[in-house]
Amino acid sequence: MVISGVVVETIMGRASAVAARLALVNGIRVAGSDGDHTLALVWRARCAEALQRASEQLLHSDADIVGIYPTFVGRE
Amino acid sequence: MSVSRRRFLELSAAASALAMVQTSGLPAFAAEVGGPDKWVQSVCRYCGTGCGVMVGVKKGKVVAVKGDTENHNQGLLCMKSAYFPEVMNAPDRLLYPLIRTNGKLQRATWDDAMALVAGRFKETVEKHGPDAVAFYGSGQALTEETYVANKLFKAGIRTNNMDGNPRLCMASAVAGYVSTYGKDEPMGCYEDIDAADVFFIIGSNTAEAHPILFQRISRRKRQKSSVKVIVLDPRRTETCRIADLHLSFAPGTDLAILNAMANVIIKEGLIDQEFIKDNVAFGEGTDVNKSFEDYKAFVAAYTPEKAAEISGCPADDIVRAARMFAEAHRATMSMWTMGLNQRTRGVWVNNLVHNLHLITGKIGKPGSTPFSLTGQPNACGGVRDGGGLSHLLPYGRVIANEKHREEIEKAWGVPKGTIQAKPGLATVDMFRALEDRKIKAMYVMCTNPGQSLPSVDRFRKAMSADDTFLVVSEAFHPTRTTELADVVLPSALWAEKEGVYGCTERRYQLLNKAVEPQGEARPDFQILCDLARRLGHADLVKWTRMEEVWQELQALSKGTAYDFTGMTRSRLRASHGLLWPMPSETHPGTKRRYVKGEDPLVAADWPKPIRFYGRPDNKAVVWLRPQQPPAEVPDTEYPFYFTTGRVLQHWHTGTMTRNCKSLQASYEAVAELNPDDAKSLKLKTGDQVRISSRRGQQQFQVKVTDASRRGLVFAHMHDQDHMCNRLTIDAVDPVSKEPEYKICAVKLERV
Repeated sequence: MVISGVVVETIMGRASAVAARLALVNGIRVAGSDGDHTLALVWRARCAEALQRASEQLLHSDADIVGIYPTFVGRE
Repeated sequence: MSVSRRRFLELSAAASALAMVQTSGLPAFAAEVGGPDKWVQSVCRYCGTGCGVMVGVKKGKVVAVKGDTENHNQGLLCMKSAYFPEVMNAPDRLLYPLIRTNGKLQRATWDDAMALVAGRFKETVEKHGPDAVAFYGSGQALTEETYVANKLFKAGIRTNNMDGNPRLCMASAVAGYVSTYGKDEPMGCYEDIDAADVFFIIGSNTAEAHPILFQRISRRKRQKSSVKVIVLDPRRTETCRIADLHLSFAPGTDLAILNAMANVIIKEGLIDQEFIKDNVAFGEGTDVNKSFEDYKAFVAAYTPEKAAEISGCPADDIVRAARMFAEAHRATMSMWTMGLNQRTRGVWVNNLVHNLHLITGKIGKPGSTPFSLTGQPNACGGVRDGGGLSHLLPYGRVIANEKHREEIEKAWGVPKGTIQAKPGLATVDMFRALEDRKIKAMYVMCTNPGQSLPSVDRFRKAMSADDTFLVVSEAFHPTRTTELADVVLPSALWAEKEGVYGCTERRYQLLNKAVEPQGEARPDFQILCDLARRLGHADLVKWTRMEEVWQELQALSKGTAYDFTGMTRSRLRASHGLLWPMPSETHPGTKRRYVKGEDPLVAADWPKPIRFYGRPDNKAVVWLRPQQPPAEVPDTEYPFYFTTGRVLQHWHTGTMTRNCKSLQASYEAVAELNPDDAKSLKLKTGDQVRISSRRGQQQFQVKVTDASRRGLVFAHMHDQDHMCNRLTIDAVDPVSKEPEYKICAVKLERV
């Protein structure tokens, strides 16, 4: 199990909409937001590879997301 | 693992991310999990942004990386650097020397390997002269390492055939700066991002190639609602997600667009006449012999409509871009990278970006600056500044200048005339000379030309030929170059050694050694000094400590436009990066060059706010550069443009990302095709396609995407199993000698 802290930057004003979509993704918990363009996530995944694959997929498929930046990667 | 431990991990993850959301300056206490014994300050090993990182060490191994909150990246990292501990401990780390015996690379001792290398180099020089050997280095090597190689080859072996991979990425930016301002390197800094009102991003997918700078641009745009972002790129890249205006155009036609923008700016009275009068000269070819009126007449031919006809970009968009760029009382910052540099007219198109800043006076003020982005972590500091190319000597000196040669010969304690007066071969010519057997022995350090050279198959043959001798110093094996080598030397990687990196904004930073090299690996500094001694040049490498090399470099910079005499080792160690010029230990460093009151090389009594002291008349040059086509354009036989680039998760030839399990998801290079093109070729995502150019062919999986414009195919450069450089062209810019990776013609066949 990999547990990661991740900052997601969105287009201005889209943080809430993105947060709502991310909340539906298995393993993601939205830990906080500035209410406008930045989200703090805790992201649990089976392994680092799965986490990476999922974050790439999100970045490329959600047009409101402008960047995903890991701040922490911890392994059980 | 107990539940409480999991809870602890989750709290740590949440806290680190929340710290960034609430205030970007708060520390991310990443990877305290597992408890590193110590954190060691360093710099990221990937792109040229030079992000500060802290390396977590436990029991002599790198176990974690976190962003340095006190450096310019404010604790943020991109996806790649967060996973560097995996790369340090990757299974393909090379742990001992290899010698090719009976066609196979086999384990050898250091002494046997070095004796063979020294013997073959000595024999080759004795039989065929010094220019029969060559060194091919890297913008990833430490400054001190490149310097040792430079000194050994130019003053010891006495050949100027000493080039490096910055020739493939930054040479056109260098020649652009030098021809316009007389000196290399940007005059601005990252802090300019925080003051810019307009970002003019051309030939750069900043979002993927320089993600931390993109984050800073994105932050600026959020902070000030009037900030605008203009992106010029044939592809609709991820960078366009924050663009207010995206100009897509046929590859190679941006010279016409930039000239048309200048035309609009002049016609609409958006120029800064006072700035031009005080600070700008005009030229054509290589002569500074034109006037503003000549320039005005020259660009008048490039109406927006004419540029639209050439480029396929709407004329209205060109006009909008010009107005946004030049609007009064707003600061404009340009950024560009390989989309401009890797071109046969790379220098010219660099000049044209500078032109826009010079005619509008948007330069040398907070937020107004032409700022080229660098692809490698030490292309600027080690190779450009340090003089590690075949025509250069350290700190702005050139081989062709007798006085410069004499200065360096004196400093190095070698007789006058030791350094050959004729510049050596630039990269592509160097590998062509290997192909022609004019060069018979080559030493490659910290780079992977067996994958990264354009038209790579022809050069792979030369590198692997029985009658050429190839030595490769590399941290990983196999790579597409080590597999061709006669000798492979295991080099220490990143946190296993100490040295200096210099990044995009003239920021020099110390990488501290955090762990011992793995296996029998050695720092390149040590390997090169050993080679020098074995070749009889011990006098050139008398150092016992790295700090002594740095002191020698500081002395060579003294009195030059690069002066960093004030950057002592201890000061570097105590800092999170220092910006030159820095001529004394009390000087704080220089954010903006050429600007009175900021740059110590502009005297306090200079009568104007700016002094372009790189040129004898203290003026920068606006060059008249016409639109010229690329070396190869589509035709009936090869009807598509082919272009290459980076993706976020990988870097260069993949040697430091492919081996990271976490980053393998998107490793395969796919051919990105426009939906209309895919339809006409009856291709869909997931199909296989054979792409051929006049130089070679490569099979790719298809990805259909409207990010590609019609007639353009893109593939990333990182995949050693699907090598885009089998297709690319080895035509070079006549001034910078940089190859035109970004444009060639191909045909596609469904497989």
